[in-house]
Amino acid sequence: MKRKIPCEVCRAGFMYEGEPAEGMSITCTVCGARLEVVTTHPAVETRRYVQAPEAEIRERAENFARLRGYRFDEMKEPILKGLLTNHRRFGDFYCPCRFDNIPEHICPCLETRLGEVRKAGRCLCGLFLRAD
Amino acid sequence: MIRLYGMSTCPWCRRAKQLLDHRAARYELIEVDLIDGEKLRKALAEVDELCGKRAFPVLVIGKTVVQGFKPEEIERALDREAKDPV
Repeated sequence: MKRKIPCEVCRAGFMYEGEPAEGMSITCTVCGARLEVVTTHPAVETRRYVQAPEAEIRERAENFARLRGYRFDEMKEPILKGLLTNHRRFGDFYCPCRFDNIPEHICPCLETRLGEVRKAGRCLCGLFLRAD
Repeated sequence: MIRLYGMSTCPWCRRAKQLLDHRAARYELIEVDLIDGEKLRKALAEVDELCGKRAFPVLVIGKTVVQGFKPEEIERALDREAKDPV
């Protein structure tokens, strides 16, 4: 049975095959964030899986790239460093190349989730690259 | 006149700085995440007018505006500026 799961990170809903249980760890197929199921009744609710910021953003980026078939290059580490600086300063992984810290700019940003890499070959900050 | 708008968190802004330094260009650097008040308001208004999108780096080289780190475009603009400074 498929269930629609809301992602606390990207605010999208994604389909999950199977029965989610409280405490279960699942990956958002839209943004790659690791989530923890908080409750399943009356509706499924999730929250970010609690982990160190560096582990969180590395895992999210790896998951997102794997899900979309994207790749990284040598700029991955400096971009992750910028994301971690923004997390320390502003409390979330806002794009290091944009000024406005709004939910749409949380990595992977909305443009990227909507297919910018497929169209342009890379996301704005260059973390995610098209495979070809 | 060369001006670089950047952010301290942006690795492409560092690459743009390196390119300008490598070319021994004289430029004004404005890191928008490290300023505040009137200076910030003015810098953001300039970027909004130049590009319409607050994404960095933004380079103003004479009459040319380059948003993003595009080394070939930057080099060409630097060559033009060296020949015919604005």
